[in-house]
This record gives sequence, C-alpha cells and structure tokens, in this order.
Amino acid sequence: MGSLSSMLTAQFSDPREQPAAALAHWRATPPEWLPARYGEIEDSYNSVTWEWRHVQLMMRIIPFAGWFGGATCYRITALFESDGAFGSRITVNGTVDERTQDSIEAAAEHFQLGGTV
Amino acid sequence: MGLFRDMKNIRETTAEHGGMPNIKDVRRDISATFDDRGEREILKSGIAAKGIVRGFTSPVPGDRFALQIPIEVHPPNGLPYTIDYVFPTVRMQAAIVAGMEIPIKIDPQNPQRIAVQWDAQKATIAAAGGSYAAVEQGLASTYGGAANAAMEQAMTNLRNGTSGAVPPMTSTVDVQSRIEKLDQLKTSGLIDETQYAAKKQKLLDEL
Repeated sequence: MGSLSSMLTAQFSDPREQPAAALAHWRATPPEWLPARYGEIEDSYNSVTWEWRHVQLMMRIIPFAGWFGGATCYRITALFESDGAFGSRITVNGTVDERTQDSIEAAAEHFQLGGTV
Repeated sequence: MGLFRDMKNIRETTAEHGGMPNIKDVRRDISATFDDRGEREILKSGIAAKGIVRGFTSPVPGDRFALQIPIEVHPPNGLPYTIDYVFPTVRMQAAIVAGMEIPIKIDPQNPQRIAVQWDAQKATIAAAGGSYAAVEQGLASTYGGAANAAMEQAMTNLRNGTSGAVPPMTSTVDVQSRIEKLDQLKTSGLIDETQYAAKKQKLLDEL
C-alpha cells in the first residue's frame, strides 16, 4: 500500500433513484469501489463522507507516533444532486489511497485528478 | 558567510514583526489557532441542514483567529433564520460567498450555533465545476446579472482607458460641436466677444 495520495473528482449517475433515495442507498450499502476500511464519519442533507486513517507500520511500532501526525487521513465525500430528470448525479470528491483511486477511476463515468481549484 | 547572514536576516525580519514572541504567547496563539470552539461536537451530534450564505467573510473585531459571515439557516423543521456565523479561521477549507448553498449542522441545544460541513462543501464546489464556477453561481443567484454586468462594464472601461469614476476624454468632434454652439450663442447675442473668446480658448485647451 503506497502512501501517495491526491485529490480526485469523479462523477456517477443513477437514473433510477432520486438524490435522497440514492444517498440513503449509498449510506446503507457503500459502493463497491470503496474498501470496507473506510468508515462513514459524516452525512449532510445531500452528502455522505467516509474516512480511513492509515497508520503505517513504522508508526505503529513507535509508541505514541500516531499522536504526532503519524497517520495519513483519507477522506472521500459523495454529493447527490438531481440529474434534471428522475435520477441523481453523484459527485465524488476527496483524497484516497492509490488502490481505491484506481477502483474509482475504473468505475466512474468521469474522473479527474485535482480537486476544487 | 551564509549562516551569519541567515541569522541576521531572521533577527531583522522578526524585529520588523515586533520581535520574537515569548513562549507563553506562542503557546497561547497555537492554542487559539487550533481551538475548534465546539464545532466538532456540533458536527458529531448536530442536525443536518442547508444554509444559504448572505454575505462575505470578514474579520471579527478583537478576535484574530476567527472570521464571520452571515448565513441563512434552513432547519429541516421550522422557519429559516439568519445568524452571523463566527468560525475559527483554520477550519475554513473551501470558498463560501454570497448566494452559495452550504451544508451545515445545527446545535440541537442552541440553534444559533452551527458548523459548516467543509468536506461536503468541497464536494459541492467540485460538482459545480470548481471554485470559480461555484462562486460565480452564488453571486448570480444573489445579484442576478448585476455583478456580471458591472464586471463587463469595468472591463470595457479598462479597454477604453477609462474607469467608472473618470469620464471619457473629450474628443475633437465633441470640441468642434461645442465651438459651433458657442458661435450660435455669439451670433444670437447671448454672449459677447470677450466671453466667446475666453470660452473658445478653454475648449481648444481641452484638445
């Protein structure tokens, strides 16, 4: 597992579900591309955020290293909006580990590195 | 000598900023910088809601570690209300400007206290196509076309070498027509020869 991370933005669509229903669905059953180690940390009226705090092996060995910034914090948010018809447009934005990034890129309809700049 | 030059530069630069702070002040500043002022607790147990930004961020008088911005809070149940949201500067992670819809959580014990959900706000901005697009959408929803029109007028003024405050320079054609009017005034006897000559010279000086 590499520690390289970067901000990404990806888009998905769900033509069958309205945003609120799609949000509830994703919260109950996170998408396949999201590893189980990512846990939900926050939800808003139109989004859900997952997080994984990864502590590298060396940092686990050194006592209290995690307290001093030894963990890498990956956070990814899915935002649900109307697609203008009967479904949802889902924007995924955040920072993930390399392997998860590859999975998102493979699954997404649109994918780009870079964040909100 | 690089080391001595660096040390001299550090000493001079810190002097320009009021000198080295003492350890107590440094500790107090670090503590104030990272004080979340209860926001994490609100994010954990608060009520998810929508906020609409009704202004721009501004400093908080007497509090250099915080910013404030008016936000119209739309609770899931109940009428909207507006608050001045004061938040620790260090928590700001994305743009918020007038007109933007932002995800917030409301303190169930005190509805006047809220916390912005910055991760969700970043996703909102990404969905809008980036910070510039999100800001433009927010401003458009608040000011309609007025903000764009004002900007376009300012750009036109810049291209023409004028600003909104300075009137355009007098053209030759303009001066010529004004002298012709002056001639008419003299011919009709409304001004005498002296007045005519003085005014005509003034107009010619504008060229």
